[in-house]
Amino acid sequence: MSIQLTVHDLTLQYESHPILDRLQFEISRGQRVALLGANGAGKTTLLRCISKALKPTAGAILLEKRDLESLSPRELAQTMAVVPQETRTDFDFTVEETVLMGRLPYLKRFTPEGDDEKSIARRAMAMTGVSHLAKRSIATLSGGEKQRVIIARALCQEPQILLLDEPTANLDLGYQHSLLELITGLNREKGITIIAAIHDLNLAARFFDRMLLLSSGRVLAAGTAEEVIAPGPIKTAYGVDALIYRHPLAGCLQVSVRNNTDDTKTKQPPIHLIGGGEEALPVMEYLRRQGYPLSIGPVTPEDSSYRFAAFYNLPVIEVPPFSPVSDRAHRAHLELIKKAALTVVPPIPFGIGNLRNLEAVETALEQGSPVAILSHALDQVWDFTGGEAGQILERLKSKGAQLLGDRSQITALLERK
Amino acid sequence: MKHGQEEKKLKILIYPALLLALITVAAMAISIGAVPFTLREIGAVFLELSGLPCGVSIEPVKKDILLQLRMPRVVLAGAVGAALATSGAAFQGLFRNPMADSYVIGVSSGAALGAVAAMLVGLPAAWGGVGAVPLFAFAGGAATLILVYQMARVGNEVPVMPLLLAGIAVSAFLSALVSLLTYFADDRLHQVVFWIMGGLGGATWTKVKIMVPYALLGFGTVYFYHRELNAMLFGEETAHHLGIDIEKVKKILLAGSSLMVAAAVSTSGIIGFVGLVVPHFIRLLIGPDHRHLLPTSALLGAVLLIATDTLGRTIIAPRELPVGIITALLGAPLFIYLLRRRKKLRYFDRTE
Amino acid sequence: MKSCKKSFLLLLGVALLLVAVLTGCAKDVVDETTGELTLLDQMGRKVLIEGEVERIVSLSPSNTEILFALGLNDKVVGVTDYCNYPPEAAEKDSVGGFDKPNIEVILTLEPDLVLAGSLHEEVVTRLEERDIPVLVMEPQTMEQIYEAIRTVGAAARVKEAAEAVVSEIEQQIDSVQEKLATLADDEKVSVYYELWYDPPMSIGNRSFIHEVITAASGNNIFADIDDNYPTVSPEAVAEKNPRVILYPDDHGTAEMVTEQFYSRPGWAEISALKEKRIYGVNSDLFSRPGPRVGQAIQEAATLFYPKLFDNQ
Repeated sequence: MSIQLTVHDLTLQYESHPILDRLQFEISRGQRVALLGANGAGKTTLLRCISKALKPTAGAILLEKRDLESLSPRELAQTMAVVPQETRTDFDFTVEETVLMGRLPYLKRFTPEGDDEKSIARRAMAMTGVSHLAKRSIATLSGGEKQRVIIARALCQEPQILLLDEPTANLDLGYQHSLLELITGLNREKGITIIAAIHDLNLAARFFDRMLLLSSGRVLAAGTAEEVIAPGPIKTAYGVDALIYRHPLAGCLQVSVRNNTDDTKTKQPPIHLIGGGEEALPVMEYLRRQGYPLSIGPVTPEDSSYRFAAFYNLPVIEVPPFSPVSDRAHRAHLELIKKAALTVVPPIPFGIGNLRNLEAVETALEQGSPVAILSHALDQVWDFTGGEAGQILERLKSKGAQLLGDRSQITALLERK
Repeated sequence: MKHGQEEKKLKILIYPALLLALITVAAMAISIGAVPFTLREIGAVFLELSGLPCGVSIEPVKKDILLQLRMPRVVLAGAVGAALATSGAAFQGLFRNPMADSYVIGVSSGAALGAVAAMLVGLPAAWGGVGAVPLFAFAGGAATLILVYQMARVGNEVPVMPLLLAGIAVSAFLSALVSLLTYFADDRLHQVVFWIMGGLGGATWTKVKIMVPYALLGFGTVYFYHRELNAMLFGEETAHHLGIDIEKVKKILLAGSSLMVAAAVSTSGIIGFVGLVVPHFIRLLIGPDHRHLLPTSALLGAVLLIATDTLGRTIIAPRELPVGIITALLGAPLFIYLLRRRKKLRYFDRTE
Repeated sequence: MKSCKKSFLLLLGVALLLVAVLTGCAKDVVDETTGELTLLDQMGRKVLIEGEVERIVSLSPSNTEILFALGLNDKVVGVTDYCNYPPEAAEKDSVGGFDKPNIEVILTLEPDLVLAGSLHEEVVTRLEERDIPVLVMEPQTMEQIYEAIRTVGAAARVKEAAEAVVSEIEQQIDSVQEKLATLADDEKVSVYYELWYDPPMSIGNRSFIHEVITAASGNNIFADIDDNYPTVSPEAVAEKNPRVILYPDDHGTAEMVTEQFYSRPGWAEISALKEKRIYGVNSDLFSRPGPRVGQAIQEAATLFYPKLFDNQ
């Protein structure tokens, strides 16, 4: 891929404060680049320098080896189109009229907009899915519809580069995704280079193939998502400890931030849960939200319950995968159960690997620890031990374990004690 | 959906409607007055002018009044109305502000100052065939534009907010000076006050010949950039992104609009309301596209001013009511009525 | 013989010179053959009047009064709305207001002479364009009134009537001033003329009313102000302590106005209030410099010194 845009030593001072500080990077033709960074890092300023809305104090921007300065406004508009974050629309232009304005850089002064122009506009509207709104006034459109109209207008400029400033900032969930899909489509089908300032790291990781992380006006990291979305750069750029993981469904990198504060309420009794399987998560999350200090029974590191415990810094017993619970772990488990005011058995499946956890619960129950069992859905297959797990559960019931139909009853149970 | 079709119909109909209105109102204006003319008499005069024989004869005095007094007055009223309405539309687009009118950057106050100064110093009424007052008024208006521009500019650029504020400040200052001069006007007081109130009584063909070219030049300049004005409604940065050299266009629009205002004010004093309301009126009917907004505003402005001037000189004939009073008295309720019916003036309704 | 011829020539020369000078000085030059008259009006404009004047339009009330005083009522075809004296004047066709007379109407009346004021520049220009003679007469002093009367008289070829009117006025004033001559300086009353009350506006030494009051041996308390109608402060009036207060009587009924005077703070000790010498006068009569100036002076003198004019 050829280099299309070069930003060289770009500096912008505002009242002796550098907003852009000797920025240096290159963008190749056809890339989809996300500009990342905290507020004030310089994303919008950089975009405005590229679109020549701002004049840099020093440095240069080259477009295919031509200095941007040498391009006339018309030439620039034929090469580059901008989709701003928000568009004022307190007047009644129709969508069609608005989109047609994208042809301005090509129109001759005394020639009215002809059929050619109109068909380009129609195609642009079709591509962005706003054809049905053609005669509507833009003042009546929703945020998402408006963004699409503006993109259609930008397409009419037949640009090689599309600049977007926080295109999803004011959009609803559905519109966010459809917009980014649209942009991805434009990039893939028409080869338009995309440079977008994105607030949301997760959306960036999902839809863009190249990242540029800005911090205090400098390029902190540039490259693929794996290179840029990493704890180090994020800590520097955003000042938070981030947890980077893979989206369980889409497979792309995702960012989460750990809680800084401990939101357990004091004086809430501790609860211990046996982990193992995703069915435990809702119960754990619910109890955590109620403010109970939790501990998690023996689970493997791949288990979602383990990750839950790791995220919230909860006491958890780790066991290696694909093997039964060791003696040491079993003993540690019993310790944890004793410390808890209540042990909860969530409606998880049981197999050879975690059967011993149930045995631990039985032992503890005999020794006086209260136990509550969230009843398993009857039509769910959860016993993969050939019936042993079921038998232990029956015994637990007969020895005094409380059978609860719903997790909300846990609180009531604890209050009664 | 329906909205678009309605507007399209109006866009087609509005030109012939306004032209018809203009012709009607002009004909009425020519015939009605302290000295009334019948249509036959008017026809006779025109036939005579074009060298064709006609049956009806008309007294020389009346012919003189018709050709030398009545006609230039109607033509001037039309030209001034068109100039004020178009400049109002241009300023509203330039400043993206619905409250902007022809006088927003102070050209009128400067023109008033020039005029009042000329009146008080007692310069002769006939200077180069036009009179000192219009010349000084025009000079005052032009000087004010330059002053405001210099105050607001930053390097080679002129941001609109400082421009607006500078205009308001300068306007207020010059108006205060005008008031001060008016206080010392003594026996010129009447003349000063009536000039400021605005009137077309002093219309002559000379004034028309001087005013109309400037107004046409101003109009042409502004209309030249009608596409740019459209794009500028979305904001200066958007316009820039669409390839417009925004600073150059702003300066030219300023100059063109101010030229129209100075030409209007120097010949007929300060007639308010036309520049503010006519463009809004038109927008309610056919939308904000300046390609049509500018010429239709000009037409409607001409119709409005010819009509109100005629009213002003017939209500208490042979005395005259200043035209500015009538434009406000008639125009405001009409506008409110339309506003209530359409409820579409989105400027005042940001529901987002 | 030679000396006789010389002295004769000298005499002739002087005589011719005298004639030339005298005719040059004359305000009106009549061309005997054509009957054309060239006059100088108050602005120093040379106005050419051809033949007899049959249709006169007056654009100011004072000029209208002059026309009627000269007995030219039949020839007056147009006046302004403000021309209210004499009452017959109001019945003439109106050409509009005093500030902006309607040029169209004026032209329709086909006047052959128009009397205008200094305000009417535009109208004057229009009339000049059409070779209609316009005399700009706006008398502001007594001298100018006499001049105006004479000029109009000359224009309308009624010079004798003009002289008669002037004489009448002069006589009227003389008879009043005869009686006033008996006054000692300290007997003269201080006078405050209040043109308007909010803010108080009075008369300076440039105004016509001041001349009237002074001619009636009154002392205008603001005679030191070189202005026409200065705005004054109530304290200044109180301090000057006028013995007589005059006001234009179109401001309301006498009771209303006098009551208003008495309700002003700090004025209770003014002589005029204590002696109850507050009089309303006809504002047209006092502020319009015209042929009724004699009447105005007489009225003023009667108000100031009633004892002198007992039998009037």
